[in-house]
Amino acid sequence: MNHTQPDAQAKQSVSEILQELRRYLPQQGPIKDFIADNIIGVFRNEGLTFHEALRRASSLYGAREYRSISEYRRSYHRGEISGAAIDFVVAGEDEAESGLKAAMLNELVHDDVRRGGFRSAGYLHGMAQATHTVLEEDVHPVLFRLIGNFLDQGIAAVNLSLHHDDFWQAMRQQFSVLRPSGVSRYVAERIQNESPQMLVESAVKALLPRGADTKTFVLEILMAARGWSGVIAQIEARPAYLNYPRRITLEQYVALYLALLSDALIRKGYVAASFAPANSHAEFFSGSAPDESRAEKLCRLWHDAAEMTHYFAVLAAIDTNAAPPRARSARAGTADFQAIFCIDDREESIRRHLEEVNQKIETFGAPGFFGIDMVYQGPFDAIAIKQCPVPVTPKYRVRGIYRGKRKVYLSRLEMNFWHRHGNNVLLGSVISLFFGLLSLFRLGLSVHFPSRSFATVDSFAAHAEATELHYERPENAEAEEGYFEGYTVTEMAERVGRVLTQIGLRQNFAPLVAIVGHGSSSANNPFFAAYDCGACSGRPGLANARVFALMANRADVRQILAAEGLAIPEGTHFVGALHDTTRDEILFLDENQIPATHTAALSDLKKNFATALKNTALERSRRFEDVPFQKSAESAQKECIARSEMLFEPRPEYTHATNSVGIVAPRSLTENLFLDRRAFFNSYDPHSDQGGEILSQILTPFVPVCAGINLAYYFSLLDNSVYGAGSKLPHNIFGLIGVGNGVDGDLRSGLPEQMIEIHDPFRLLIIIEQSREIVERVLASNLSVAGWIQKDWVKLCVYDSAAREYYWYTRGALRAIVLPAAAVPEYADSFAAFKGQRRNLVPGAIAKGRAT
Amino acid sequence: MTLQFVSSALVVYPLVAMVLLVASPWRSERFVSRIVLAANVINGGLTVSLLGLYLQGGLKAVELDCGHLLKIGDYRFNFMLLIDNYSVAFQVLIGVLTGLVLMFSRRYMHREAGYLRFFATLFLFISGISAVAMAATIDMLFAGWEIVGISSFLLIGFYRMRLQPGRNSLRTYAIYRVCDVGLFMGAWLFHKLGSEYFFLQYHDQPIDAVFVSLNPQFFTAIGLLTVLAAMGKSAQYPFSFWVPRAMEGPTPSSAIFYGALSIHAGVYLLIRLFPLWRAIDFIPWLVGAIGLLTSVVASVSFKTQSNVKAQIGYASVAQVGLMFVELALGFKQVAMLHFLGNAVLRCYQLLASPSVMVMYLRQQSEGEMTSRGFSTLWFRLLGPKFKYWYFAVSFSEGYAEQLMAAFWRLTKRAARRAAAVFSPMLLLLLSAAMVAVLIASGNVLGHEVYVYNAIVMGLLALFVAFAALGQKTDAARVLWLTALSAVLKGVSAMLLSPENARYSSVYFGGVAIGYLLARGALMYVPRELQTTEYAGTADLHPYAITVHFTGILWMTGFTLSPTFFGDDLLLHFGAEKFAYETFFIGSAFVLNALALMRSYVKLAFAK
Repeated sequence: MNHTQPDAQAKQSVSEILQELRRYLPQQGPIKDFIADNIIGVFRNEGLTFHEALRRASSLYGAREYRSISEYRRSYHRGEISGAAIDFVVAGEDEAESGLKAAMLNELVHDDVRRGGFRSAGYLHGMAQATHTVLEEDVHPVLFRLIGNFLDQGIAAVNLSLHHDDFWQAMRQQFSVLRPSGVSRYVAERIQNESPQMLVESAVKALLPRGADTKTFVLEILMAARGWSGVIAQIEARPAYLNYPRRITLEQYVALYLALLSDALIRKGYVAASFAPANSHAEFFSGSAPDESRAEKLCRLWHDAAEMTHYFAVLAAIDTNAAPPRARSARAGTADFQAIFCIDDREESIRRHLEEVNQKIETFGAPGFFGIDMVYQGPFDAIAIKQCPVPVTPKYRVRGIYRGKRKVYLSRLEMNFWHRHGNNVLLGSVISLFFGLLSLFRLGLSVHFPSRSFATVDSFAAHAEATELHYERPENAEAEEGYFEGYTVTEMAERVGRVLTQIGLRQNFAPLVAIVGHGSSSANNPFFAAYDCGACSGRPGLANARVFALMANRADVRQILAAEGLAIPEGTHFVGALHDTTRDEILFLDENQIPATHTAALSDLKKNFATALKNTALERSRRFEDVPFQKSAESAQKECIARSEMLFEPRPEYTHATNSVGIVAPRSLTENLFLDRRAFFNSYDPHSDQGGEILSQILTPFVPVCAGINLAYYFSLLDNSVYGAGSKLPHNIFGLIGVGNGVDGDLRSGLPEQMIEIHDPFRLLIIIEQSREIVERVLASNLSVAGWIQKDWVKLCVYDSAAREYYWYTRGALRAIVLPAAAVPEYADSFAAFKGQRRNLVPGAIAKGRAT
Repeated sequence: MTLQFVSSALVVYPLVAMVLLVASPWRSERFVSRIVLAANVINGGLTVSLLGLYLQGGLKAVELDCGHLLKIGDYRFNFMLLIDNYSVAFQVLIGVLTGLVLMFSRRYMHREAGYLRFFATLFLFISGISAVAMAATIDMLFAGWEIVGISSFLLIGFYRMRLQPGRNSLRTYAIYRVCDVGLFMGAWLFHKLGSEYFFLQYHDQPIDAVFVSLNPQFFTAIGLLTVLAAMGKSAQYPFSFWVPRAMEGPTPSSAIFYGALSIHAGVYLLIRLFPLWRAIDFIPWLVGAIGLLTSVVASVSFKTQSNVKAQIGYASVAQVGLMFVELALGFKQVAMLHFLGNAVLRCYQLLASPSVMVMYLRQQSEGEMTSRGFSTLWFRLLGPKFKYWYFAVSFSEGYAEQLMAAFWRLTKRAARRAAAVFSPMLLLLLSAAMVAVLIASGNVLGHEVYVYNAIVMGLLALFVAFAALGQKTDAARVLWLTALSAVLKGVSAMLLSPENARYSSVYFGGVAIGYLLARGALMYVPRELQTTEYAGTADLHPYAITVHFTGILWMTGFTLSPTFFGDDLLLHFGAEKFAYETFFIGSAFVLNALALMRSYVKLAFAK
């Protein structure tokens, strides 16, 4: 697709063009299934390196590529970027250039590093300028309203889909009887008489001057409203994204856009023949990244140096734990309790606090779906919900079965009263006339005494006391509706065994092992799905933890495992739990199944958790600048709980913000380190994995999931107006599909400012404890993981515990490096590390709870 | 504490808070947040005291003269408040609701750029709406009314880096301004009617039928103008479409403005002037018809809205329409109660609107489906085509916007033609010559001719205002053309009452200061930005834009500027002569403000 061959391009049909271009749209479905993902992943798929992709993305979206060079320089002078890091980065340049460091510090270059983007120049922009057409006013409102209305999932009672479930047919039917305002006779006739494909082809031909490039023009149109066009592309590809499926295609969208655009332009006297802008985006389709400018080069070096400063600090802290090499925590074998958490960076602090509270707790990290690849259907759910990572296609369904009488929720009645009946003109008049002033009382309560209501999401909600899980399937039962109803015993053993083996827990079981999933509670928060467990596709991991514990407690499962050499002692009991990361509360599941021998142990564990949770709340509360520093752990927890219930708290928690490291190693490498909630952990025993198969298994989901989260935060912070959703405060909910500004703005994809403001734009540093040879073997065989690393989308450092060597992945190979000498802060306990601090902290070592 | 102190303090304390915020050298969020908290404590105390004192006084209606703001000759601008059941009920609602929203926003707005600006504007609004609630004179009410309009404009356009908030704030402002002319001209007629009609207290009794029959055209005009003013603020058909489009600011500002307080200001105006617009028989019918139509259109439009804020907006407008019907039927108390209840309910709904995502999805996942579709009964009754008709009307929001857009296009076209007739410089020379000739002609032909000269002058002012509106994007040029129009408008009013010409210095002084401020600020804005559409200057030169906007406010006769009093003064003296001349002056007043605000939006917004 070289732009120098217009003939070859002219032959490309519209649908082929759209097929090619749709990948440049945001890959984000409806917001109810919010998954943090690499926002410019398309350029990774094109095989570009991270920095090349930044430039190419900027020439498409017009976004910033780096922080401004003066910001970097200020950071340097404040000591936030170290000289050692700059030296390291400069030394790593392919072509040595003398005086590069001096240039970074002093050379005069443009401060705002960005390229044009498809919105600020090009055919569409030129047409609008030439005719004084304001797209946001003359084309978008009616377009967005038609589409928004058609796709609506439960806000508008009357919508176009009632005429026909295909968008184009629905419009045709409506327009043939009566045109609504905003749709001129011209537009209606074109829709009536032409298929979307014909319309696009003829409109492009009519609007563009001779020799102009169609593909560029179509991409400009897609970019003009990335939010809506992106959602349509997603829905077209996966109709099941919607609870009420709709048939709409990107081609129909572009056709409608062009019909409205032609109408507006013709009205304003546009003549294609007299319009002659140059194709300012031709180079984009060459497929390669634009050449690096001087400013980009300096900024890139600054960026790498800023990252490197942080990486060196993390590695220096880890280095304090480097000897002696162990398979697990130093506590292995003596522990009374074991707890398996999600790899989530938010669980770093709770694990640390637990270990500080009790010397006899050993913790692990594993992806929070705990190997249970299922869809879950609660007792009252009409729909089964996917509870495993996005790339996994679940084949098993687990159902919750409710025994007992169903509760009537007062909050549900209240919601219907105010928000449904209150909107009806007649019922609403009675409600506002006679009960209206009562809502003043309700509002007063919500402001002064926040509490759970219909406006809050509750992570524990999925756990109704009397819900039984139906998770077992006889050996030969067939699939129904595409799902197996539960797992056979063999399948159970397979899953339990795989998770335990991956995290290195094959012997030395403690009497009580907690499987801790996580979820989040918040109020008035359309982004709620982005707060839950990423490994469970943006849901709380409650059902998964529960299913895993039930399976692991079965004698028949243990029997199969024992035959494979994984002997779980009879005295060991697994208990599922859910950690609410916003409220810092924990709920233990299936307590009635705890054997009498373990009840005392459970109550001890609960006490330990209670203390650790409060301490975590205290640690988290330091980031909330809108409240003063908390005096005690109790008050901190109260504050955290209140935040999850306040209608007026846009920051119930900071979710993954500040994440920067992913560690695949035994706990011994990170034990007693203060990593400031910045690290993903996957437990791994390097000594039992001489072939590297386990490492490969771990990395396959670990790298894309963690890097996806990391890059979603990275880009939303880098240029929130382009990659992010802007401020949450003016957001309006559209059709239960997404959020936007005002009533006729574009949908906003990405993360809102309130979620990313404390983040540092650093790529993920993956630290693996293993020998260089094994890691190299894994990279050679696991190409999907290697792609992330080779193209610099994540950084990799390998620590060989036997040799006590660090290897840094650069220019295609792992090379030994010497860490610069650094003083690692030492703290008595976690409190000493974060007390009185608001900012991101330097990693340090903690004395309390250290094994002697 | 006397009732007088408490009630006047309720109007003044937000202004003090606003000035503290804007003028203080401390701009940190913490400082602002403390001022907000302190102001809110005062608000709470005053609101409780007001209610307490009023109850203690035995629910007796009183008129409080809190002094005058300006006194020239026999003209006084009185700061007079009326305390009765209605005003106390409204004011207490304002106190409680703004108290809650302030507490809500103090935390909600944390770290938002423009934290200070948000609260300063909110305080300005609170002062304005309190003045509306407790005004005892039509002048005072108009003063508050204008403040409410400007603060709406500012909060809709709170996010200045995007284009859409600018366009929508201008859209709302235009409707406000056009309808405000009803109140502006109404006020002039009030002056003409005589001082007793000037005070709202007397409007509790029906108006003497004999007096009405003597001046039927007067009362008809006043009644219609009042209804027009009420329709604009309360978003009655065909102005109803601005409500959803105004939902551009942070959620709490939408809640307090379009959910709660300002949308009911029109209803309140009709309650205050109840006997006045009922003096002519057909007007209540008109009000009822408008209310019913609005209610039907809004509840139909509601159905196809696929975003939650527009939906709540239309649900609210439908209720306001019903209030108009209640007023038309004479149920003043019912309307008042309805308005209080609706205000709170919609405010609450909007504040909780991000939650619908959770609420509806939870219901759906449990299989409780949303009520959707057309009810079959309607189908059977009205035939199979009905659903298409219904959809089209609903989706088009009753074709209200189309109607208004056509009107706006005509205005713009006229303006562009007007701008093309003379070059601006020629216009200036022509105007100067006209002024000289018309003033001189009085000396030759006698002072009687001034009335006709005033009309000529008013026409000229109107023409120049059109020319200003029709200019291509050029902030400086729009500025001086509107200044010229404002001056001509002043001369016109002066000619009506030459013996009081010396008092017009207040007006001209106000215009001059406003012009100098606005023009001076433009010196700090590069020329190419001034002539670029949507230049995004607010981001690049925030201080210059703030000063520029202040200057514009002074030029347009904003409440807290000398121009406002000057306008009122001219009106006071001029009205004695020839009331209908106000049409030209009023129209120039609208167009000037539109031209200035449009140029401001194009200068300040987007990028």
